[in-house]
Amino acid sequence: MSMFASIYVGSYETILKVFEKKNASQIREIDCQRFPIGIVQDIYHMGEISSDTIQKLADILKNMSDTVDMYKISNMDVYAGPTVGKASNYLLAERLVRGKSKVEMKLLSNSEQRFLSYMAVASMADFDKYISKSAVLVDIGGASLQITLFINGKVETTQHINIGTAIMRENLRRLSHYIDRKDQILQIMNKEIGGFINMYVPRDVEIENLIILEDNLTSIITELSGMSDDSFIKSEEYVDILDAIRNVNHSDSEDIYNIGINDSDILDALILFHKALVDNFCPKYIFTQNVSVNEGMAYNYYMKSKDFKLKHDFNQDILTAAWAIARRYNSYQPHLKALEYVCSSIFGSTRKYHGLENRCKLLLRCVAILHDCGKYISISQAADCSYSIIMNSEILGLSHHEREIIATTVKYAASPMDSYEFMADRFSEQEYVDIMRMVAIFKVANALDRSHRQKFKNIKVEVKKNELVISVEAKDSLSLEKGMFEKSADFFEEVFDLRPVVKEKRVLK
Amino acid sequence: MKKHISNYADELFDNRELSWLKFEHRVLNEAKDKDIPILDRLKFVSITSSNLDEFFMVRVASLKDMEHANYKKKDIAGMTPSDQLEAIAADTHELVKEQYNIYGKTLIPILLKHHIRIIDRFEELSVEQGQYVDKYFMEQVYPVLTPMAVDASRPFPLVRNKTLNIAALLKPNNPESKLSQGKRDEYEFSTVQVPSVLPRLVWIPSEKPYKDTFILLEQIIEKNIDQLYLHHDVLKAYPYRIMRNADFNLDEDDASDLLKEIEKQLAKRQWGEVIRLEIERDVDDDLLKELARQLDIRKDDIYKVDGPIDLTFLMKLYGIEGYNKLREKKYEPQLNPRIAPGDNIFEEIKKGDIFLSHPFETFDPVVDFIKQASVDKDVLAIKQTLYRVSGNSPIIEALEKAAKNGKQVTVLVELKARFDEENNIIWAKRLEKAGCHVIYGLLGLKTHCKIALVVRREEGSITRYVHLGTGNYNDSTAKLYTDCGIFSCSESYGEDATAVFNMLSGYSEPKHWNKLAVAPIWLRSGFINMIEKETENARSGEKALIIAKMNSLCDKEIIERLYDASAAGVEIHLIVRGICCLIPGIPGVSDNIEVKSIVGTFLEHSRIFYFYNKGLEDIYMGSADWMPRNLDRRVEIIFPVEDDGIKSRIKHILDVCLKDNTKAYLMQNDGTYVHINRRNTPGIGAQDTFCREAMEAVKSSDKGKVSRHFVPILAIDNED
Repeated sequence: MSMFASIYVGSYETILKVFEKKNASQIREIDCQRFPIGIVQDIYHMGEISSDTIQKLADILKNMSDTVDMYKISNMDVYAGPTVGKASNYLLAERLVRGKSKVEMKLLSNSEQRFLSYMAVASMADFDKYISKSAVLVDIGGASLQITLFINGKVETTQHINIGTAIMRENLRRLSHYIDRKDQILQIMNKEIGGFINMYVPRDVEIENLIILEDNLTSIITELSGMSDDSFIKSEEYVDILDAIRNVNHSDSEDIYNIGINDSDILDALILFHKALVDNFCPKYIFTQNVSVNEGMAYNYYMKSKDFKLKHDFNQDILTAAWAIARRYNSYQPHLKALEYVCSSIFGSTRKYHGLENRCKLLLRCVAILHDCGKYISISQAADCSYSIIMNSEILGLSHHEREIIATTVKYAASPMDSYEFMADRFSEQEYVDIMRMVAIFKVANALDRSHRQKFKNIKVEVKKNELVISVEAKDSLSLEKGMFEKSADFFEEVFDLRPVVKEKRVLK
Repeated sequence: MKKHISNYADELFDNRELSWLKFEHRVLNEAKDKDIPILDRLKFVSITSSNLDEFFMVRVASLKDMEHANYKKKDIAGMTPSDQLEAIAADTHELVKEQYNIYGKTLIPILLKHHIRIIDRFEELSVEQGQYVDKYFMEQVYPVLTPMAVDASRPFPLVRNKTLNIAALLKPNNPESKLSQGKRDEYEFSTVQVPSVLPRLVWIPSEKPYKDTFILLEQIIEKNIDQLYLHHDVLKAYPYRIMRNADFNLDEDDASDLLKEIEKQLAKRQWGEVIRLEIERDVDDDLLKELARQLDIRKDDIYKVDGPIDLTFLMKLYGIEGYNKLREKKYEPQLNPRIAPGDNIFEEIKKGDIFLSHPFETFDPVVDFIKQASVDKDVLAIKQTLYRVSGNSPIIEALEKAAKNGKQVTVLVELKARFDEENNIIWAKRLEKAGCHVIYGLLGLKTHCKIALVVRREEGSITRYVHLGTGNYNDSTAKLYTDCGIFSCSESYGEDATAVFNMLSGYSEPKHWNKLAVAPIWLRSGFINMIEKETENARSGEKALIIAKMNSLCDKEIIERLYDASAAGVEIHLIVRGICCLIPGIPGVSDNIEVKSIVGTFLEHSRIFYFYNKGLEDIYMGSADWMPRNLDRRVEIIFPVEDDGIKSRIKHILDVCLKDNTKAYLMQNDGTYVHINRRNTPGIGAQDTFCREAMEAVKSSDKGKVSRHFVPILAIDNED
């Protein structure tokens, strides 16, 4: 458990990092091998990964796996970034690479990839301090940007924008004959980033800190500003540094900044991104962080061990992001809170019977928080609309697939479950059963607050013989709830072989 | 690369080739030193001879190429290649003349006084000696000789680079013979190679009062040359030697297998243009004319010498048995005060960084580092750069063993290490066979850095042990070259060392280095920054001091920065063994710069750089000289020294070198070098001081007292 190797096949670079656990909350990088492979160029120009690139990638992965063997490490994850998956021949390429290198890589969805980067940066000791007031975290990737807004220390939203450095670099090249090519690119960036601000940043919120995740220009800036890895730089100084970098002849940049960017267009694209971010968000301070997906992969791995714990609560990020969506679509929050609470209580009490993993509890809480958001669009088609909203809203920390589980659970909470055959293309059998179990729990919880009036308090849930006894103290009559309860209880019994029973104790208001 | 604009006139720089020849004169001066035993003095003559060979094959050859290509660009001192060749020829003729003067007029008489005689003319042999020589010729030499005649049907044969040959003019002794019809009135030219498989210096019985007599092999052949041409009379015969252009250019882009390409180029080295011909002074004009015509050589490139050709044979004489009194007592490298034989080297390094100073201290710890790693069960990997290694290198052996023991062994063997190419190909193949991952250098760059990394798994965690040095991993030269090194297991060095090997393996360079400065990417700017920082400190009235010790200084940009620094008031002391294109003591330009050169028993080889830096005293060591090739075309490493104890030792080394007044020369503002005027002060020799100190350190260290030899008790003294 002490050593871990992560290989990340990014859109323009493949990176191996070897880590070992330093203490209960920190890791140490032992080795780092980076190799530039322009997969994104192939995809951009041909739509697929060329056979040369496939061969090169296989060679690199083989060499990297030899390094991993050298350290005698058995724990290794190999991920390919979402851009790589956009190649029309990805499945074939992956198999060819696997055949040649004996290394199997898994494709990350955008949300998984962003979460791993986020995990890497949020694992820093002072991260919670940086986001305590208001902060924007921008992860600049080869093919896209991920912008996450924090207000009062909590995730407000995270959005994925389809403009990245490699794409912008290609655009710069395409526009090379225009004198104002950089201005044109900057305009595109301003429009996209401005759109995010208009939509998601409340007017009364001033952005305190801008955290930029990207590991090329950030290293130059760290070098030039003389700042340590964990210090902020004032916005005005940052702009000066960007100008200084812009004014340097490209052929000198490698020499001057001690970095390996030998592609002047990438450097231009990066500078433009940094500038657009600073101009649009107008933060007081900027913080550049030199971390990669590989660190996130390592934290993700070590988090599975009981003796490793990060200070930052990533589950809380997911819940707050879900709440932000619920607020955006005007869901009735007292009902959602009551539901979240009851769902958690039932989940905890029936753990022995449902066998669901802890992660499912988190997903179930999200189901409770998000199940009503579709009503904002259509009351009659609420379940379907909720499904669509959930599927199209990024939640930092949840994978695309996990969102699909939540959305599907929400959908089937309002309509009869389809048989597995209808879902076999999206879920495994186990996942189908898990969804069914979550639907069962959710339905019972939802039935208890059918009136949306939270008539009960001090809920106690316990299993007695073959019954799930839900004891509540009710302020009002629970006749409606009890009437509606039976149907949900039938489904619950069918799934868990436990009969939910409500025991009501009337109390004064 | 940012363009550097020069502010200094050409006259303020010395030409690097002429500066190198000055170094050769300094080495030759050692042969004049009466305080040095005679055999050592002969050794210095031999060293100048082999140095000169290399100089011709590489430097002169390269200038010749430029001249042929009509390349007119001026060098640092404003000289075109033709100007340089002209000046080199004049200087070299002078040097060779001096060399033979010392040899013939000074050293040979001393040898005779010690009853050692070298016969370089067979006519001086006694009858008995002549018989002995004739017998030796027939039994040992004759079977391996292949005389080659030149005529219309037989073109001039390939005369191999650096081999000694005997040219002869022949005339048929039977004019009626059908074999020589049509050539009755013509001389014939023939050449025969003096076999390199036989010793050049042949011991023969002595006549009184001599104890030992030697004759040169070519004289034995000359004496018997008639035996080679039975149908001819040998009219004249003279030994000669040629030097060819040995500098080859590799088209690395097209060389898919660098190993094969170098092998191919090495074969071609035998065919390079002839750039120097050495022949005895009294050579026959006709024979010389014929030889010069066949070899297509200019008059300037012909060196007529007053004595035997190729004085490198004197190195063999230096080693003759029975004359220890005529040699400097051999210095035995002492134990490192921190490491005794048999110690677990990794445990010692864990206690703190270890400084190594060769040859005053033994090189064994470096060999043991790899040896112990090769059998250590916790060692996962060994990574090392090899530039020049010794024959039967114990390091190669240990690396092979490590690979066989399942360690991951990565070795960068620099195939382009000049004159060691063949040697290195052999090692590379051997290492590959043993299962090592061999990297044959980098495209377009020579890997000159000296670094070894051992990755060890200790209690579930990774610890990296690093050796960084200024000299090659060569246990033989480590006894002759002064070099420094450190062992460390600090995380920052370990991370950087890992990054170096990743870079050498083709991966991208790291985003940042913790400690190391690595050429060709960051080293030049690093040095420039440090010099500029001192300059700024001087300008703002603070103390500013630079002390730099290296083998060569010829980088124009660095020199100009040093001139700037001097003008700003920085005190600069340079200890430059060989080439120095900077000229000290020029008013307003370099008056604050002092240049010293130490030429002693050991070859000064360490590179140390000291910058006062407002009292922080930054000290760096490494593999790079201040030469364009080191800063721009090689992978070099310079590492900071941070341990206070080691810093003190290095400061002491610099201090003693600066105080040297016996073996040090001072460079004058006209570019010449003079011995230091001691003015009745006690003599201080840096190398002697370090030898003495190393011996004293062993005496006072616990390590030195530990005897690892078990003494068997062979007889019991029964006093009872």
